Amino acid sequence: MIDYMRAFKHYKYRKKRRFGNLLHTGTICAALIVSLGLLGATYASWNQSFNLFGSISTGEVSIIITNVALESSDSYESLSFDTNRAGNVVDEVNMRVVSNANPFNSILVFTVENNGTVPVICEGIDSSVPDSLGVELVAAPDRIEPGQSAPVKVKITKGYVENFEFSTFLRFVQAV
Amino acid sequence: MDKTRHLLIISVITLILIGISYSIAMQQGFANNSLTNATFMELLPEECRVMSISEGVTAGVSFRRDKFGNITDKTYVNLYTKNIYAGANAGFCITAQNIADIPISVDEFVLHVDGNKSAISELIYFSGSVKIYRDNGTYYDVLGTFRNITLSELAGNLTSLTKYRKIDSGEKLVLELNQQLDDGPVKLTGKAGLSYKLVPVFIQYFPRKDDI
Repeated sequence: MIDYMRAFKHYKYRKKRRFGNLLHTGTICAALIVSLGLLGATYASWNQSFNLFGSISTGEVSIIITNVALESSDSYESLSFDTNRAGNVVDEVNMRVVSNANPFNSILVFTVENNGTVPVICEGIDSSVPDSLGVELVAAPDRIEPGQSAPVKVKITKGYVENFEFSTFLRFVQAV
Repeated sequence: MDKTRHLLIISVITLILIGISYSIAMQQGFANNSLTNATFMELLPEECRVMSISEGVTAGVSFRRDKFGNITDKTYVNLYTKNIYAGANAGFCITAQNIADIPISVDEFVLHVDGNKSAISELIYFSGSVKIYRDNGTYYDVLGTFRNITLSELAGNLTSLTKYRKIDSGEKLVLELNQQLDDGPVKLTGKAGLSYKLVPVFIQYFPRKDDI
């Protein structure tokens, strides 16, 4: 029994010694080295970045017709000319003519305003209209700056007709 | 046992003190700088500008500002170009300075392209150069130049030019960047624009074996 107790005590002492080895100076130094190493690595892994944003965009082409006027025409017996507006923009043009001229030619002046962000030029008028109707761009400015208004003259030629309706458009592109 | 325990306690306290002193030192260093947001490289607004633009094109450099007009973030800059057309170009100069006490280096350039606005990403070409102005701007080193590279190649090119190059305290990194649109007007028809973000990442400079 006494031998057993002695062996047990010896075992406990050996266990304590092993546990004591854990707190040996060398172990503490190793822990310090690792900790300081991690500290240094953390410091060295610092980084900082900038943000250089680049944005490139095309301009906006926006043209509105603010007025339409009849500049000249062939002789007629009677003629009435008026425009329908939606705010500042001309929506529709009505022209009623009684004339012996066949075909009847008239020159209309469209006052256009550049509401876009880039200067524009008028390339032409849409020619996909009924064959019996002739539309022709007579005069247009070289360049219309943003915010500016300018006149565009269009010649319209039509033979005998009653209650004829059509629509067309002027083509504008960015001026370079 | 008591001795070892004392050693352990002392080492723990030492580590804590090291950490605290480091934090205090860093905070003190930041307080001495004009910025308090802990940046080591900052853009110089007065030296970030448009160098050249084509006729009719609008280009500029803008920073984030508060309601009083003061710049609030010197790590962000917007290079905008508007009303472009086929063959147009715009050139910018971007300058950043090392305001820290440690040497800095560029780790890499990272490119992000806005997926919703990348219509002309293949129709734009970049040219320019990278320089470091040293000794209070007395002289500069040209790290390299590039010519007519696409957007997808831009980040890689800039990284290869600037990586491992030392930027000492007070020195300036200058990037001259020219954006050139493709000449073909047909290719641009129907395409709105491009938005991208170029991010240079700076790290502390560590000399390589060859430099020691």
